[in-house]
Amino acid sequence: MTHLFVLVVLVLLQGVLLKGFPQAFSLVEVQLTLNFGFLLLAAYLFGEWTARIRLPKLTGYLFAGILLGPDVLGYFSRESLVSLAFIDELALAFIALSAGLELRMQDLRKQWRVLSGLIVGIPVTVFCTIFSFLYFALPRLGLLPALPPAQRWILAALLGTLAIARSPSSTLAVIKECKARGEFSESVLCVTVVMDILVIILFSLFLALAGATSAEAVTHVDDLWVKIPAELLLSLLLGFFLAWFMSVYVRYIQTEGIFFLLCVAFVVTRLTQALAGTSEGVIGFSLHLEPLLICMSAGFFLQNLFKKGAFYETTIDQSFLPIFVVFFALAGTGLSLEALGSMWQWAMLYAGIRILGVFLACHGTMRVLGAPFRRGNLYGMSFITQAGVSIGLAGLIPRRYPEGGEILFTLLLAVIVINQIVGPIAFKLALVQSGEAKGVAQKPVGRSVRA
Amino acid sequence: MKTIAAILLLAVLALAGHRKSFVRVLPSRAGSFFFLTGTEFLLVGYLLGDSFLGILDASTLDRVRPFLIVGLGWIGLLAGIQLEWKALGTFGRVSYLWILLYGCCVLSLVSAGLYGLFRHWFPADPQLHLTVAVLAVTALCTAQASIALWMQHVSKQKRPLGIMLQFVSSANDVIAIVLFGLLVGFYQPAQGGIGAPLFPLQKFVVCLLLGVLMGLLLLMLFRTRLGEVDKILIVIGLVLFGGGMAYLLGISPLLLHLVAGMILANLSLKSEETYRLLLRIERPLYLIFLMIAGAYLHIGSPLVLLLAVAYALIRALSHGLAGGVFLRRVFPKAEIPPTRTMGWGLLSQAGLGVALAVHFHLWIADPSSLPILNVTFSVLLLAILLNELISPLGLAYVTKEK
Repeated sequence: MTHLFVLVVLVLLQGVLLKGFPQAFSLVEVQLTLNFGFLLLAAYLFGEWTARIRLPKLTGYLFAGILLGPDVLGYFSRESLVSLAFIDELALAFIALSAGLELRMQDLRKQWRVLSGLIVGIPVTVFCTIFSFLYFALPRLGLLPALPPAQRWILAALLGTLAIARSPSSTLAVIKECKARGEFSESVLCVTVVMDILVIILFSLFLALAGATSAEAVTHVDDLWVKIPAELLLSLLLGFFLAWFMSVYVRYIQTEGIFFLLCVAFVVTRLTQALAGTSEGVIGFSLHLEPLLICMSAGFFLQNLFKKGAFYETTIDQSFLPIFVVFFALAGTGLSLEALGSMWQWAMLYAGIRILGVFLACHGTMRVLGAPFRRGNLYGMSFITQAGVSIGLAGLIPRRYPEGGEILFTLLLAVIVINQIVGPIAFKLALVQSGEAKGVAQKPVGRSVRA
Repeated sequence: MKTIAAILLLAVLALAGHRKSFVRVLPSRAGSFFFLTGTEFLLVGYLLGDSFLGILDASTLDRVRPFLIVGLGWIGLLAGIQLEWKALGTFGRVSYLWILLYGCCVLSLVSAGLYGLFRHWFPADPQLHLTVAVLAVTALCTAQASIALWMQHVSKQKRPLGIMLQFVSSANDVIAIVLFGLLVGFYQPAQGGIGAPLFPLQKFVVCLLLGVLMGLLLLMLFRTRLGEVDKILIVIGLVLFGGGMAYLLGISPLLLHLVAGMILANLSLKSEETYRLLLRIERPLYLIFLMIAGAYLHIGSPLVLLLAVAYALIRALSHGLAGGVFLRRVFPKAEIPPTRTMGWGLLSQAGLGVALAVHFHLWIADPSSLPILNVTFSVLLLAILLNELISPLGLAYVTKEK
């Protein structure tokens, strides 16, 4: 009740200021202090409130963003959100580092069969399900303009690839919130991370093929074999050096960890942007290094190679909350309700087919491995989340397909809205049912032992 | 790219500085406060600024302005949270009267001295009174940290003297923040964008009310079961929100957060815990704050240096004289009778002095304002540097230590 009361007071206060001084809200000083502080507090309080009704806090942060964002209450205009974008980038790098730190080789080795099964099973099944739906069914429904068969094939492949993408940030946020520790949560995080990398590779490949099959090729397939491996390798290499540097920091300084991590996140995001801008003039093509991959690999190397992960884990545990709150609240403000409203039937159908694909894959894998049926259900519930990378990659589709691309982009955004709302709730439920959610008070399910 | 380099450099320097500053104590050397309180970072900022290296140029400084606003709120909250009635009550009510008289005396002496001086250099300036008032109010501030650091290295018998000095300095700081909050209300910004169309006293009252509201919200949230991370988030969120609100309304974030901190200190059972929490993230932030402030420093002419030296001297004399008359009456029953020299122990200005200077720069001395206001900021910062150099001599004189 206290949280709700404070939230109402803050919303009223911000509303009064917004009404009284609308022109002042265009000042960066106001956006980065008043607006940022308001978003942080409102999303946090909303998250605490949703936790009371047993939903993930992350869902609360997202809903706060949606409610306060430009589509509903309009407390944040799209222009004012631009000045907060750098906070979003910092948070993403931070979360990626944290995800890398969670991956411990000695633990993962123990369940390599499950991991490899899911890493192969989910992408193949989800890709095939979505591909078939889009290639055969969608043109008959009249949603897209007619395309030549080759282009239609590649478009369906692009969208099939996007359907594989998960959200490592959401997965990690729910794991942290539930204080989950164990084989199940670790395997989910590991598969989620690997699939995100896989999506980036596959999507770039299909996008290049789309260019090659159309008259105005944007990227040549020849370049592609250099560009993608170069980007991946360089990202991993940078991740390695970053991990080494961070291990040196632990050895010699070991203080003000949060401050240092923020600097690292800042440098990585800005450096990759600067490299993308300057590399074309030097090496002939634009080098898009993924801050997500750099930070994730840095975290992984720190934990498994340099053995200095503990310091950063503690640091992140002490400070993850503001980062998650801001990140997901900002993500919420970016979720397009307009898109969802205009295409909700298609989006529900698309999301439903994707979820079906995920469940089929998880059950199939568990059956092959001889695991109980329930395990397949739990994994199925854990791989619904979708955000981040998917939104970024989906944004490339209208550029590649000017005709009908916008409709597809709207559809994808609507699907992401559904997955991002349903996914964390389902994953939290799966963690609770797996018995690994130590931070959640668990109600006994079914009859008690005494009965 | 320049902003990235600048911020990175600031961060590295703050980290490096944090390792050196606040840690090693060299009480026997004059000027040691200069390094102990991190004041040298004002000079580092000056070197990084437009005057020398140009890394923190005007456009970069514009982008980091929000950081200064948050810094002001943070300093206000820290000052407020230390004002617990229970602790303050140990010195008796009459003490407050004498300290108030002492403050009034310092204000009058500094104002009189500076008025004469500034009228000579800026005879017809319409902002002359405002400038003198700002400098006089800032003259009241004393850095408690410097006194605490010095007292760590004096004999145990003299420690109560340190507590008294800290008590006087904290009371002076409150007077300075309140008066500054009032002054800010009297000034309508020349630039559009900030400032509510209210009368000065209305602004002052609005500031106090919003401070109470922020304090109560903080208190309500802190009464629920919270982890440490939740508390950090709430404090950061409220400081950002309060700072932004103060900027938008043209009121003082220092005063607003001082009130909020006082509410928390006196009505919450966990104020000590909150204070420690604030301190944990304060140091690197404070050093960045100092560096950005230093980057705003411009010594355009020898006049600025001259005025700064004059200001520091007038301030020192005022504290010395007023202390001799009033402060010895503050603690008549103390175990170690305070001497007439007590005022000389209150010369270090650091923390709050810089905060008031930055507050003045952000709220009043915008680029379109008159030269006298821009000169005032530089005079203030230079005087703070000078005071850090001479304050150990004052404390050595008071405590009779080398």
